[in-house]
Amino acid sequence: MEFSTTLWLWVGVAGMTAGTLPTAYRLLLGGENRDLSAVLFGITGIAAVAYLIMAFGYGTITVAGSSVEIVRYTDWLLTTPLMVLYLALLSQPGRRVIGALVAVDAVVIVAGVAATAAGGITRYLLFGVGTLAYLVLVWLLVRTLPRRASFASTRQESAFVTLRNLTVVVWTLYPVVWLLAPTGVGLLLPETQVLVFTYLDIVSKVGFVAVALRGMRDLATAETELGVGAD
Amino acid sequence: MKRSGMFESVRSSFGAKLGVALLAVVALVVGFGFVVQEETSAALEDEVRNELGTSAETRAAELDTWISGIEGQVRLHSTRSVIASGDTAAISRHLTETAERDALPEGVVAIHYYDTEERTIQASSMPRMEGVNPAEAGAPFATDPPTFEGTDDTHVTAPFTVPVVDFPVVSVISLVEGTEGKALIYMIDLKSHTESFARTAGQGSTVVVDGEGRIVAHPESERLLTDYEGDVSALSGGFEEQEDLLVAGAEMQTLEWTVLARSDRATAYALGDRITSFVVGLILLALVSLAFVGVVVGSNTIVSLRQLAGRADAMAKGDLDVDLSTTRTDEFGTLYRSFDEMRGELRSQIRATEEKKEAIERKNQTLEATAAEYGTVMDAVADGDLTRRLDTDTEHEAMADIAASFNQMLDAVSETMGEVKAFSEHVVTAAERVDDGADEVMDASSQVTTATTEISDGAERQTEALHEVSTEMDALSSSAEEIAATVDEVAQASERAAEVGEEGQEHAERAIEEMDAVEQTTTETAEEVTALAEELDAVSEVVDVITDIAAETNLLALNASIEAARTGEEGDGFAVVADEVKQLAEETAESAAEIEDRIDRIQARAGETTTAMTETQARIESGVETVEAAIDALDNVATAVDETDSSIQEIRDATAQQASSATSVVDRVDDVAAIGDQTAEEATDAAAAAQQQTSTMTTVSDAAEQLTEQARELRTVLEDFTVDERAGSSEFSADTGVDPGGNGSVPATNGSGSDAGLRADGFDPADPRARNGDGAGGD
Repeated sequence: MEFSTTLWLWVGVAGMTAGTLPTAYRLLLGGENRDLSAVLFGITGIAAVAYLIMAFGYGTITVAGSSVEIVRYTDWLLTTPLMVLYLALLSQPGRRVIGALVAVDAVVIVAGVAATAAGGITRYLLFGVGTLAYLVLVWLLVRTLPRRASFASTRQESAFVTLRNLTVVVWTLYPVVWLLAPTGVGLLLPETQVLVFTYLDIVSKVGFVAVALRGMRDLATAETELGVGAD
Repeated sequence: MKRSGMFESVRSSFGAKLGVALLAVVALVVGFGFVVQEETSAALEDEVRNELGTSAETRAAELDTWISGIEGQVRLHSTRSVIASGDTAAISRHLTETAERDALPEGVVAIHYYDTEERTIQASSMPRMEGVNPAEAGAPFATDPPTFEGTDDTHVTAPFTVPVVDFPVVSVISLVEGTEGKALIYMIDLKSHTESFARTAGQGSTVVVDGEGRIVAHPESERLLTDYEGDVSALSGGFEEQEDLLVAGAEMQTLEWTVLARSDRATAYALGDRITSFVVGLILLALVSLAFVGVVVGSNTIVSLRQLAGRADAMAKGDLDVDLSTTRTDEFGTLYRSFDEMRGELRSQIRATEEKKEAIERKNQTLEATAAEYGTVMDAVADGDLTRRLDTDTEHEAMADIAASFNQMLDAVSETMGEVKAFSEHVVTAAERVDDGADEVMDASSQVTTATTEISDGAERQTEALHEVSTEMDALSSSAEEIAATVDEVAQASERAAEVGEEGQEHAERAIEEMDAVEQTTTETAEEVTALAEELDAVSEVVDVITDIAAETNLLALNASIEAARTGEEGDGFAVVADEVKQLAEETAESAAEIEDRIDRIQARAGETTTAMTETQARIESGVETVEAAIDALDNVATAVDETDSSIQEIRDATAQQASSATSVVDRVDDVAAIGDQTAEEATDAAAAAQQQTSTMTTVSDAAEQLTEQARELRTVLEDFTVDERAGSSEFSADTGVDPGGNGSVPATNGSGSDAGLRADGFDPADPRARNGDGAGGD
């Protein structure tokens, strides 16, 4: 068995699909928190499709001499706002903050795509723009969101804090990989880069969905207990 | 300070501790990954160097073998009898055959039989080379002939090019044994051989550089015989890293050539890069895993701990109903259950405490009941029923003691109260007597006050009367002054009247003069008017003449017109003139009549004027008489005014004297009034003193009444107390019986208490006013 880029991409397909199944099941069953389940389904579902496309070898286009993994970035451009949206739905900070979060997130991803496509000093300038936007996003998630948040219960707050920390910490590793990869200093070879990105994606998306689902279950349990307490 | 603060903030946060621990692990992994990568890379580089060096040496040995093989063959070939025979044709045939048989070593393309002295190729396996002069072609073995030590010696030329062939050539030369200056030359096609040689060194390539620094073998044939850009001598047996190439050199044994084994840098180090990539990938995977585990476990733990801490806090503040249920089965679950048990224990302890509290409360209640009962009794006692006693039969010893003591005290109080009651009776009687005495004093005092007030009123009325007299005298004085002033004014007026009378006289005299002048003028005017009337009579006669003339003229004109009518047409013009003359005559007659009328009217007026003049004259004469009478009257007036003036002077003197007399009267009256005022004031003072005395006596009376009232109240109050009949009655019964009630004084033997009481109410027997009052009352 040869360890190649394609293999890692297929691992990604498998991981994302496995991560999609519980939310799909929840959506089929119906019940509470359908909107939250739908967002979670979107996160891993879109990623699974993206990995499938990349596994079949259609993931890359060439822009101005640089090959850009357009499918991967499209995946990120769709799924990261969904994850931010999920955090916002948990904390209910109001429309303006949600809008700001999604907009800044989009800037981060687009700056990443542009940096990959560009060459020379422009590449690092765009990377700087992306990093700056990412810092703004982190500030919004760590400071603004909890301050504006209105949590229904401590369990919901607990779920939000865990998910928020997971998102901030794991996302911070993406630019590190980008810098180590051929897009940056080139310490990582492309196949290793694909492996690392796949693993990061699985952890940040499937891990996110898993923690979110557990939080949702806690939420349901808490509500039941409250109902009993009221009697 | 800052460092210790940071250290403290890490110490106080589980999340920070976990983060620091995970970061330490990450640092360890990264560090060790770095070491592994460095070690591997170094080993790999050594490997690559060694491999490349070995490759270079191998290639050099290969080339040595090849060259020395060719040399050996040249030497051997040169010993062949055919070559040594010197028969050029035979040699040529032999060489061609040898070439055709493919018996030549690899890379050798031709064999020449060369005469070193004549410098011509006499025979060759290549027919076109026969007869060629190599020196002309520039072959180095011909232009710069090598020296041979013997027939066993061979010479390998440096690479060169000749026009005859289109490739660089290296020749291997050996002298033919037994001939004079004949040599056998193997011509090597450097290009065809080295091309394959240079390319066969694995993934790299081989370059051979000769002693002069020219490239002898290169994978790109066009670079043959060009200068090698690097320093070859440094490379022999060494290693060099160029931009994207790794180069190792090895010197050849047979020639002064250097073999360079070259390898593509990326290819050579590809394995190293792959290992680095894998190590970095591994570190990143570890980092991601640690981040995930750390964040999920850490956040979860911290949040769980915080929630538990919050619930423990709530319990500590007394809320034992916090939710401690959990679905977890790990240590957190255990902790939750432990808290739950602790809560149960707390609840049972609280229950026990509450039971104890209830027992105490029950005891308190019985105590309270006893106390309430006692309270009722004490209230009754306070209301005056001193016959009540507390129940000493109670389960609390302290309460029983209190009851006993209280009862004892009540006995004592009851006795004392009886005594006080008797004493109060006595005080009432005494005080009533004092009150009566004070009333009498007060009545007397009031009479004095009334009398004094009457005196005072009389004096005041006198003063007022005197003041009125004074005011009247003031008025009199001022009216006398006013009269004097008026008399002055009258004097002035009479003077002015005398002056006016004189002026009137003068004016009347001037009027008479004027009237005389008017009379004269009027007479003159009347004469003038009469003269005018006479003149007008003359004018009237002239007008009569004119009237006659006009009548005659009219008659003439009539005649003329009749005459003209008779003359016919020729007299028409004359008729017109006559007509006009007639008209003029008529107009003249009319005007004359008019003038006559006017003159008549003027004469009538003149008559009237003359009559008026005569009347005026008569009036003026009577006016003159009247004025003269007025002058006489004015004279009389002036005389009367003079007389009036002297009378007025006398009146003025009298008035002034009257005014000064009035002022002196006023001064006297004022003096009398002042005396009256003083009298009134003194009387008022006396009245005030009497009033003060009365009020003092009122105070005394009030005090005595108050004392009586209080003594009565005391008696009433004491009546509320129910006391045993025997208590305290014996001591005072004798005194009240003995005291006759004559002067109200209390005997000194028992009255010290009541004296103090009286003094406290404001009545001091030593007060002189009180004594005075008493005296006044007596009067």
